[in-house]
Amino acid sequence: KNPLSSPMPIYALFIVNKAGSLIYHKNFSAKSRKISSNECLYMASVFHGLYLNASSLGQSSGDLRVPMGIEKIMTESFRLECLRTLTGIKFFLTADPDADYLKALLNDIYIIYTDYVLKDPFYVVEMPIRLSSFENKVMSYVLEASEKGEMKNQNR
Amino acid sequence: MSLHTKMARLGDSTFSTMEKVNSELLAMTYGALVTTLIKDFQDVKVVNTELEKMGYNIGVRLIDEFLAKTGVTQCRNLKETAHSIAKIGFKMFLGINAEVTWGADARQFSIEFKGNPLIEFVELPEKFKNLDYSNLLCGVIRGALHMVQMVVTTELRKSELKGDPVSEIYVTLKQHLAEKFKGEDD
Repeated sequence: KNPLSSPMPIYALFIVNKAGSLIYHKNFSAKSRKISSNECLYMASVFHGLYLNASSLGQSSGDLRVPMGIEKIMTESFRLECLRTLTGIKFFLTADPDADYLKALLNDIYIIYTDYVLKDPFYVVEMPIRLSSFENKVMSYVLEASEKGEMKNQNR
Repeated sequence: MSLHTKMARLGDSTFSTMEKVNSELLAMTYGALVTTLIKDFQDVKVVNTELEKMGYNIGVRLIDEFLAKTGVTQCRNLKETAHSIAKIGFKMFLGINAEVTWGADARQFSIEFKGNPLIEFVELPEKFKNLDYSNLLCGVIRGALHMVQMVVTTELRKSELKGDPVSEIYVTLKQHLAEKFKGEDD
């Protein structure tokens, strides 16, 4: 059964490095609008810029803590949730507006990144990620999260 | 519950979820690495530097694993950072308990530990008495902290291999880095 053939509530994953460049993108939903890889790069940079703008809007807490930026964007047609690590990487997912389980999934994806990407000695940090072990692991977690999430939502 | 107790518990619980490897394999692999470096470089000082550099490269990657698997949020001050390294970091990655003692001023602290798995079967010969065998760990701390905007220097001040009762890594905070935002100098 092709995982991409059934409607997926989770649309896409983007990973942006400290400099604001896209290092990973994956579409999970067959219904996603087809966007070129250049458009993806551009959108990731735009999001990075928006994120920085948002952090500077917040109040300065006076200490040296890194100001947090965008965590969630809600629209009628989709939601976007973002996890920014203390090391400056941003993981963000776009999904169905009812998908309220993304926070845990983002954390799991961060863990998968630390295991399957960072531990590859040939992977250069901050560079685009092209590792099939990472892809496969992410895919299985995303599938599992969307199945579980959808079941919970249906039972409400 | 005090913050330090919470940290120790987090260290224990994270350690229990980490995948384990045979510690003898680790000790022997590290031993082979060190002896190869000695053979290649011949100079103990250079070997110390190389071990530190290797540690740095490990640290820059290890920090994300630390953050992701423990869920710790930004430390509010250097004391919290020091205890996070000792109580959580050392526990989850090496399985040992480490203690923090504060240094000469607010920017310096020591991490003291016993039972380093890397040194389990090692006896340091007289001709290598200046070898900082566990210098890799110093580099790991420096690399990890660099990725969270702290520039530090680290030093292996005491070593069980050199006859001290504990091993000690002395950490000095040099500076905090401000986050570089792209476009700031546009």
